[in-house]
Amino acid sequence: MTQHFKVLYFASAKDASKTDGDKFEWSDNINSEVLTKLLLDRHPDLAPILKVSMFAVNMEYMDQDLSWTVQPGDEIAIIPPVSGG
Amino acid sequence: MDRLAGDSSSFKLPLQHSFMATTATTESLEVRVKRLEQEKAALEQEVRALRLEQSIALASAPAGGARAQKQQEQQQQQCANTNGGAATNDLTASSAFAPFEKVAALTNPEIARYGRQLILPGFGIQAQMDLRNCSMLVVGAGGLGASCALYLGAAGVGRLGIVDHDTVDISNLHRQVIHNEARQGMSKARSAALSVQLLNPHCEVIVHELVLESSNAQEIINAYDIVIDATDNVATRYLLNDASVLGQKPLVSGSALRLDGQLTIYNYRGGPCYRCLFPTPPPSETVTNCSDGGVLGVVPGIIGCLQALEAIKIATGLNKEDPPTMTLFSANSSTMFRTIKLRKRKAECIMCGDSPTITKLIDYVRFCGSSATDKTPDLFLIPFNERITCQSYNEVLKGRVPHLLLDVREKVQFDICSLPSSLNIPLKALPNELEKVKASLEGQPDRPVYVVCRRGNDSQPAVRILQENGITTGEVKDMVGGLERWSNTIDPDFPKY
Repeated sequence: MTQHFKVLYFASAKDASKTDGDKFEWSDNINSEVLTKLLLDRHPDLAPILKVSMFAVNMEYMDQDLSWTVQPGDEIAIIPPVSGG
Repeated sequence: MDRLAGDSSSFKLPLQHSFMATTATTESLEVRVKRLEQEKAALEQEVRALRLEQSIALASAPAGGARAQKQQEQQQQQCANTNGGAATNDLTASSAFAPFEKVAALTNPEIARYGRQLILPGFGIQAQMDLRNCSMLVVGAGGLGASCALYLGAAGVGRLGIVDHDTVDISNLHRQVIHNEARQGMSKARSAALSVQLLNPHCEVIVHELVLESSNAQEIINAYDIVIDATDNVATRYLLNDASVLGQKPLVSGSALRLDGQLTIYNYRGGPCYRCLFPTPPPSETVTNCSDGGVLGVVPGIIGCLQALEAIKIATGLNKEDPPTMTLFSANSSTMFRTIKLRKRKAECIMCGDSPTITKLIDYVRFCGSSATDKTPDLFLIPFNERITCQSYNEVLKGRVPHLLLDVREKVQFDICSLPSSLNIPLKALPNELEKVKASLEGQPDRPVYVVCRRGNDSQPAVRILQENGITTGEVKDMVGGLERWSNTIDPDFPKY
């Protein structure tokens, strides 16, 4: 059975991807580098935003430097800084 | 208070108060009641006017309520010391650093005012005293600062500093509910202070009418216990973060745009600073301001309320055990609020880490590549001879010169207002819709094309796109200053937004 993970887009990431969330097919060894590539393949406009965004996995801050990989069912949030007020 | 009495003496009461027995005998009861009601209404109006006048004087003193007189005396003393006795109306810096006076007990009027908080289990007199003896700095009297400053002032914060360099504009009022229509053109910091003062004279409000920058931020921030980031631009956010880390102040940061908002407390109880989460400032072309991106008024209002709440919790110790979090608000999502758990500060953070490389404030405008305000700058991407002024375009219209007017604003803006017979293709969509432009030349390949947008910025890259694709052999120019200038210089009836 195919397993999935979810990506949520906030603020300008939502504007660039034109959706507030996506489902991706899960596979082994999706680390943050692979994840970035998957995201850009689907939404090229995210390029400048991903570079400055914070990532959260299952509602917890994720350090992109760590040797982390996506688990089936994970919910990944892309959180760019919002500066308006 | 003598000065206030002096100021208010210029008011003349419009009615004589001679409602004694003499008139009573000649008037019917009904007429008398009516007359007294009118007098009452007139007097109430006078009282309101005087109160406002008093608040303006208080705001510029600056001081509040029971402390007004004492502070004014102190200030006069200071003026006498420093200016050889010359009076000064400077309401900014000097007074902010007058020592913040803490008290040991609430007054009876304060107890009456804060009664509902005083009887609140888990809050009570101790928390109210903590608030009274706390000073907070709200940076930005815009959409976030509006609700934040009002609630903080109302709740009973002892001293509230308000920073803003801007003036009140009619397009602010849908969200910046601390200002009002009569205060257009007035300094936002002053207007906000006035509103807080009208709501709660016990709160001492300090007005900082200035752009917060590296040269002045540290001194101002150090004078307060808690800093609230209610700004509207990236450069000031990094500045506030760094100054709060250096000054060891908790930073309650809020932001809002369109239908989304964020809330985080930085630099608090071992939690991260802004740079831990966002080490790289976003490229300026990806940053949208409220003026260009739009914002639903209540969204910053909600975030500002949350900032006030968090600041109150910090001041009163209500959030002792809370781990650091970021709250995300999405107005049109089925889950409006999400809370992201954050880590502790990053050991390698260049600001708050173990070996920080930033040890004093830097040039934030340069670091962020964007200005310290949210104003949209005028861009000059193409030479002036490839542009047309509003006046010249008006001549084209009057002379009925055949041409195509291409409006490259987003459809949502085009729907508000547009010039007659203009073709709307948003800049983003233009490269894919060039055929539509060609078709609109009506078989005249040398027909001139004029491009217009809101302010004359987006129209410039559009000119380049049309030129590079050889859309017409005639001229391609964009209108300098866009529709905003069209309204200012040619047609005052054309709406501005």
